[in-house]
Amino acid sequence: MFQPTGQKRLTNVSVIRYKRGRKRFEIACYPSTVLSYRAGHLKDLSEVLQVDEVFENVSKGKVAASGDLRECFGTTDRAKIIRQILERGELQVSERERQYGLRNSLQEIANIIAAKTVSRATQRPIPVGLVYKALQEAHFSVQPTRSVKAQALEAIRLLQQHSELDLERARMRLRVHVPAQHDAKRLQERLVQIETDAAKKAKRGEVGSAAQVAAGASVRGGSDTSASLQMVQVESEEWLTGGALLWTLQIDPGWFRTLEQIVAEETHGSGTVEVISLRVLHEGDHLNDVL
Amino acid sequence: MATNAPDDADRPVDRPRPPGINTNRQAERRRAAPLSTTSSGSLESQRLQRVQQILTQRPERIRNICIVGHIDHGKTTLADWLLAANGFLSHRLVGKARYMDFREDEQQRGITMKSAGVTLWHQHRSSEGVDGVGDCAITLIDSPGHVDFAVEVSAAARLSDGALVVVDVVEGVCSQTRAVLRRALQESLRPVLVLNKLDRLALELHMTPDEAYAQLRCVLEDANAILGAYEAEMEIRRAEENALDASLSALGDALQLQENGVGPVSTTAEETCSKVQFFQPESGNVLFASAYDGWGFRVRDFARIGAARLGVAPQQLRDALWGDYCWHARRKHIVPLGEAVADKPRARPLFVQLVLENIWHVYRNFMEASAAAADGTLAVRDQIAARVGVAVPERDLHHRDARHALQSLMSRWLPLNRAVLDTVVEHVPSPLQALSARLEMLWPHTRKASPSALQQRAAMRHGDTTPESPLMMLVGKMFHIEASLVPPALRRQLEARAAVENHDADEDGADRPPGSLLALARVFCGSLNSTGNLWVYGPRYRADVGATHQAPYCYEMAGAALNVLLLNGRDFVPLTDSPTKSTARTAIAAGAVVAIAGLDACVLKTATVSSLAPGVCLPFAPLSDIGGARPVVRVALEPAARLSELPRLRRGLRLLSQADPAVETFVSESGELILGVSGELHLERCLTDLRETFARVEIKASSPMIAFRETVAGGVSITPQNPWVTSQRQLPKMRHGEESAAAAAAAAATHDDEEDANIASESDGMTDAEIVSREPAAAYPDAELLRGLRAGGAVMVPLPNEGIELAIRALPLPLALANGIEAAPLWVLRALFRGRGDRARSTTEWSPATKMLFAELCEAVRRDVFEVGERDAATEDAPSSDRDTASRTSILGSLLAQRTIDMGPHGVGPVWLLGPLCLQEHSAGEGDDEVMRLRDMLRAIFCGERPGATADIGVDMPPLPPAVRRSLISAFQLVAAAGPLCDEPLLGVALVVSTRQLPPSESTASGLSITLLAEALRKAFLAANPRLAEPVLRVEIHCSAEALGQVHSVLSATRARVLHERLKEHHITSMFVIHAYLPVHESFGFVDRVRRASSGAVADVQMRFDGRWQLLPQDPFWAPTTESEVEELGVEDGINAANNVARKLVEQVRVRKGQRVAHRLVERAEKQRTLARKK
Repeated sequence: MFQPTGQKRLTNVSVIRYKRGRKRFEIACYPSTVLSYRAGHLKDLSEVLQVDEVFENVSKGKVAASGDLRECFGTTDRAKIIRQILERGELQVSERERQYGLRNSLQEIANIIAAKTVSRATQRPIPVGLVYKALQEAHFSVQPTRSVKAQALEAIRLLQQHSELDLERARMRLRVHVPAQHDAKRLQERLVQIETDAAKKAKRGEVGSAAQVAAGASVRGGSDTSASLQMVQVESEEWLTGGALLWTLQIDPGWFRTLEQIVAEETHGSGTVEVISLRVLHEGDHLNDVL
Repeated sequence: MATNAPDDADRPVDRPRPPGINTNRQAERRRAAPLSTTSSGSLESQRLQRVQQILTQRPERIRNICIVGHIDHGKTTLADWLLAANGFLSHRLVGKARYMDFREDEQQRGITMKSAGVTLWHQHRSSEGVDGVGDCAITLIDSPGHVDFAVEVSAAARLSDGALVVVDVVEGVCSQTRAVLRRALQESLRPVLVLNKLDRLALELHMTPDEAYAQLRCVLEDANAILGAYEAEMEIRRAEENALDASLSALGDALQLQENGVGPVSTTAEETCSKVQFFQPESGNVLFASAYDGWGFRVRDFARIGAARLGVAPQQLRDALWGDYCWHARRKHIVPLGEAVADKPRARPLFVQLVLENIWHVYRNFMEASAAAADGTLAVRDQIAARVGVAVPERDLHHRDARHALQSLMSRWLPLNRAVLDTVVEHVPSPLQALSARLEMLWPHTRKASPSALQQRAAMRHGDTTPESPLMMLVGKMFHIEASLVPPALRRQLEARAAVENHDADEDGADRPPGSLLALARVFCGSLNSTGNLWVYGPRYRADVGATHQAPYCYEMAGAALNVLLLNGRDFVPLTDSPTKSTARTAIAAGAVVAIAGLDACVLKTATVSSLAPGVCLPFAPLSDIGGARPVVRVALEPAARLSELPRLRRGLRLLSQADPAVETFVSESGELILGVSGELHLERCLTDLRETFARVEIKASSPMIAFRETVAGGVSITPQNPWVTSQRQLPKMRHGEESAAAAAAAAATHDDEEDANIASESDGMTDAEIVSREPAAAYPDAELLRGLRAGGAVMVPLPNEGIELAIRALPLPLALANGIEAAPLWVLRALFRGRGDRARSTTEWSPATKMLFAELCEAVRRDVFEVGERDAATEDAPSSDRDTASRTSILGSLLAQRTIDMGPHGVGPVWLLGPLCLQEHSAGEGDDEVMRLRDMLRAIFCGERPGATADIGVDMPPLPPAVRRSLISAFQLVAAAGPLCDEPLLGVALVVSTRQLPPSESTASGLSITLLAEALRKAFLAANPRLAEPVLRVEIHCSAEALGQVHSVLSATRARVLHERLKEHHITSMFVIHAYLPVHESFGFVDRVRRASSGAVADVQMRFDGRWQLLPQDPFWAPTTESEVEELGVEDGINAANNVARKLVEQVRVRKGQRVAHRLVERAEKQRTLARKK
């Protein structure tokens, strides 16, 4: 009789489905354990599996036929088949797992942002706790399918626009060495040219770039425009004997590839770009004055 | 019996009120407040006028004292009595109001937290042997007794000339008594001992007068022992310094050098105060008191009373009253106790007979008989009052509350305020007299001979307040007062000024915390001229350093901007009654302690205010030079609710650090706002201050982030959980062609942290799995060699494009070297190592200073590696001379320059990338043993080989092609900044790259990728037994011998490494000093734990970070695997990290960073309940 008392409900079960050779197989697991198993944190199968059996349909209690198993997996060894299904089957991620994953991702994003940015006013790092809070206040939502780093780069721009946290991308310090004098001159001219172009573009495209961000523009395009006003800051310029140029620069990290390319082109491969530090920070010991 | 007429003139009329036994303290205080301002209006104004007069014109009538002592020994109650005598509060409220505890939380907790000052007026009259001084202005600073607020005591002592040391006679001399008394002696204050709470001996302990006398003698001896110990220490130190001076004067040049420096601060101070005056009741610097009952006396007071009765000269009685003398009744003569004993068996000391018996008699009759028939008691009371000759109003004397009746009698008979203030006037020198002993300590320039120094010195010594003399003023501390206490006229002025100042600032007026910050300052010479300009010099200003002659170190301001206020209890009165006279010079008598408004913008904690320009003015010694505990508890703060409150929090922190001398605030390396305080109680108070006064936002305080470092222990990892080991196991399987999915899964498990490469983020499409699978794909001609290298932990990177193959190994650098580099200032390292950009530059071009530093570094390394460590016993007896050091320096320096490709993280640091360069070319020509030994040492450092080993890794190898070199450097920097364990920087690791020719092969060309190299470097790191290094603090604990055991048990529980423990130098009492290294991770709450465990016997805990790191011996990957381990420690499981500290720490960091950790959402899967959802 299909009445409440007559039903046998599946409690504490999460089903993993796996399709192979037009056949569907299922296994019954405990909820919130499969992802831990896949990550390798849970090794005891009895902690994962409700029933040591391969089913055709768990809710109906229909066990898969041995013939089907042999046909599809080439073996009837249940243990092997179950391992395979556990590794590759589809499952509904439980709420707790999802929550945990999202929180972890957000934390990671906050960490990446904190590592890549500095406070604009003080040129000092921003603590992760504040970034995390800023992300929450800016209503940043984590997308579980996209890479954390790409999301972090987007979130930086989001925070720059919508947060009280006055942050900017930390610049990297490079040393450019150009052995020949005329190469060096040409390189400098070209960089100045690019800079002015970018400045013009930025002036025109200020509205456009904001729209780009809103639409989730590509990482490169966005960072090029947003940081264009001061892409290259020259720290020191030293002309060595024989006309070689030793140049210490600070640049926006998103621009590194382009710069390296330009240097290689202009100097026909003889110039070198050396990374001195990935993150330029204001240095100083006692900081009461910063407060 | 002589009478001591009550001084009705300076006492407000008591209003009859039922005794407040259970009255609410707060309510009492509020009711008390109007009393001070309204009811005694005329007295008040008269007093104020006199005080103002004295403070401006009569420096010889000024006394500055502070009240110090152990917590709960009655300092604030004593202050209450003195205030009551000046009409600040009713006698009835004394001991309950705690008038000097202004703050709400001070009242609630019943302890003092801030020192607070008040200027009292006292009429000193002449008595036998002492001439009256007349009326005096006594500035009294009440200081806290809790150990957390020791800095407040120092600030108070700074401004005073004398100290009232309060000791509870029941508890005796306690730890804090010792500390504050020593502090007072260091500041050359004249101490006066107040033996307090004598009533407890009678009422609580039920002692007989004889027993009480013995107890008093004990306490007095203890107190004198501290003085004696201090004097003996000074004696020893002086002797040593004299010897040193003698040797110094032999070297004329050396002295010249010292002349230019700051000069020996402590020595000069100690030399001048040659003799410590001991506490002797007969000389009048000991008071016997009960602050609660309001009585107190010196021996002299009783001598006067007793002399009349016995018929001897008061002078004679005064000398004999304390000590082993007794009264020979038959001979009517004072005889020594020994003589009397032979005569009469039950002879009692005079003090018992004359003094204590009388007091005990009063207590007995009032307190113990009160239960008996009322009428009889009242009669006895009348009788006693008549005998002591004091007129006590009947309603007080016959009061139902016996204690009240007793107090009213005793406080009239032996008034506490008179005894205390008389003693102060007589024993504490006036500011100018005191300065002769204190000036050299306060102002460490007395030996300088420049004309301006002489001028300043003379002006201060004479307290010159003429217009010609320069103004010198010492700001001892800043304190915050509520808005309601600021005089209205001044408030308007301050507000107007603030409005002008903040006109362009982004803050709105409503945001500013209410009230204002005042400076507690002492004038030394000169006068405040409102037309001229003033300079405010911070503690870091140096007269001879030109760079400190500007804004952060000193500020210029108009003299008119300052307002001088009189400390008048809870409100502040302008010192000059005509603030409208804009051109007036405000002459303040030298030595006056006053509050100054208008300095809050430029004074952080302490400062020198002077009319002399920068460069000319020589500032007072900063407090930190003389001593004063450094903050030992640190927390990170952030706004609890909204980010927008961050600026307010920052501003609040700045104000807090201004208002509190013991607070330290700064921004940490990771950008956190750090608040450093001196104890848990202090922390609580600071947070309350921030929340309610300074920042007015909700605050979240947490333990600050701890930076860890990743390093290697050397050798090859074999722990199964290590990803490198796992990947090695997988290698043969892959050769057999097992399914690639398993390999992918394994690879995913291996490298669970994503690349952090900014550089490579876009271009690199290679996954970890590919890297893993590519490695064995290259055909090796020599399988044996490959296996050997693998077994040695080398990671092979074939670069077929360049025709070479890299073998990367990670080797540990000596931790001593790493620590040395970590601790050295950054610019030195830059100077040392960044110079190798062009190889032509050799060590000969280094400046001498750089060379010296490098030599020190080398020496430290040599010592640590060879003498302390047991790597090479042969070099232990190597003599070190300057020549040796120099040659060693140059060799090590040039070798470094040749072999090192790069250093990390960020260019310079304790992680080195060593390339395949020639070692041999250098040693030619220098063949002596020293060079050989150094070569061996370097080999030991760089190659991990034992000295004398023949194999020379890195010699005669194909050089790195420039492209590879560049990528390698970038990859190295990436890895050095974020290691594979938990993305923390590396420390003390040498990544050695060797190259070998690759036989030409037709394998597909593959691009050189930074990610690939970084991955290889990480693997090499993992292969060499990765370890976690944690920062350690150097802890210095001062404790008495009896607390040693408890301190050590706390130390071992916190994984601290004790360096040494010894008796304190120059210290006569049994104080021990323990030096230890304490992991930062365990340092939170450490001070509290130590203090609690030793029940307060720990006098002083100091922690500082000197850039030292300590290796955690555990392998962070280790987990119990064998059967016995599992049985003992628990199951093999990712979560069960409880028995592996390193692993626990790694996982904490990873969780904080959102990286993947072994985390199980469900503890017991089969026990999960389906939460009821109604269907």
